[in-house]
Amino acid sequence: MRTHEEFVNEVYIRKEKYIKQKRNRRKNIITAAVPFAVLVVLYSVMVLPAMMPAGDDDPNYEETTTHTGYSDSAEITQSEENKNTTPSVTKQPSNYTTKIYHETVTQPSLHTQSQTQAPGSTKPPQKKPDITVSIDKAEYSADEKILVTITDTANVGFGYSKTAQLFIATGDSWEFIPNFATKPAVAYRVVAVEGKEKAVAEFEIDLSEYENLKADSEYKLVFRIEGEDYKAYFTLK
Amino acid sequence: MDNGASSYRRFLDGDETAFDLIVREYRLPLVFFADRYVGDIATAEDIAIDVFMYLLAEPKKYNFKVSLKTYLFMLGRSRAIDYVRRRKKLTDLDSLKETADRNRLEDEILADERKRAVNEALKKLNDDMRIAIHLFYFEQLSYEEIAKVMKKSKKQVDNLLYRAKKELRTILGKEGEQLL
Repeated sequence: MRTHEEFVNEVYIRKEKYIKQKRNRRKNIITAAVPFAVLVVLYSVMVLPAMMPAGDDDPNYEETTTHTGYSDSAEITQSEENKNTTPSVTKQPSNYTTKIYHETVTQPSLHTQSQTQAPGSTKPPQKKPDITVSIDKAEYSADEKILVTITDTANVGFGYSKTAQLFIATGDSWEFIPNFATKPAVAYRVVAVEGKEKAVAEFEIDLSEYENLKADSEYKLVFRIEGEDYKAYFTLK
Repeated sequence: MDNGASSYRRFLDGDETAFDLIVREYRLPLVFFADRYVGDIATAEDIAIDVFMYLLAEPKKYNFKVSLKTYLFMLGRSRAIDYVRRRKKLTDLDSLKETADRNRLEDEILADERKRAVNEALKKLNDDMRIAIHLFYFEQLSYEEIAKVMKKSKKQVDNLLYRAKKELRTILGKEGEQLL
């Protein structure tokens, strides 16, 4: 057995060892934790945004979605017919345009979100859309731009796909104007309105790009957003 | 008597001699107590060193809610149990030295014949009874303090001591009646 002095000395020696080990353990934990924290930050900054559904500012996405307003069969027929000729749907008989209008506007289930989404894709579950669509004026001249504002309070920050179609009033029916496209949203921001967050997307439609618009006519803009149709009316001076 | 708390307070205030005093007072009882678990004086001494080292390295862990003696025995118990759990059977090369050390320790702690006889009888009891009797009889801890060290309720300690005393009386015979 140790003497008292030996015993106390051993206590102090072990204390130094213990403190040293404790310091090393803490250092090791920090050494292991820092790269892990960096990885988590990198993952959340770089990988997670890429996994989110593409928004309106994605040109490829816009390209594929602007024409989904057609029914599948009509679109295929048109593409085949227009292979060697100039595409012009306005020459189609009026019952054809009415049919398209019927399919695209009054049967929104034709292009619901589940159909446009790729099978197996992992889109996060979204709340029921709470969307409003408005344009800045009721009357435009042919060289003006229409400022379209889309607001959403349900899916704030997720972005959404949109399809825009333009119709002209001809008698009792609406005639579809083909090849109508909108530019990607010029601004997409989230603002707080009355304590509730609200996503606002704004984009412009340059009417001067469409030569076949008729003056003194009533037009209807139909926006298909997340499988639902939203309408806005204006008159061309 | 505050069982070392005042010495520990002085040590925390920077009095180096206070720690020396604490070690001087509790070293042997702690070794003797740890030996009850591990059955090896060298290991028991090692455990006692670890206990004092912990007291020195982690001074803020002791909250003065129990006496310092109780706290040291609590630390000693947990370390002894840890050791027993991971102990491997090794060839006992130091058995001769071990016997000498044990005799010396018992000489120092068990000054009178009465305690020596109880100590011999204790070896025949089971672990819990042995520890309870040790803390009660050799360390003069209260039932409450024994309960804290052994992590049992006061009632359990009461029962344990009652049964242990009964068994000891049987072991020690008529002489035991007087000893207990």
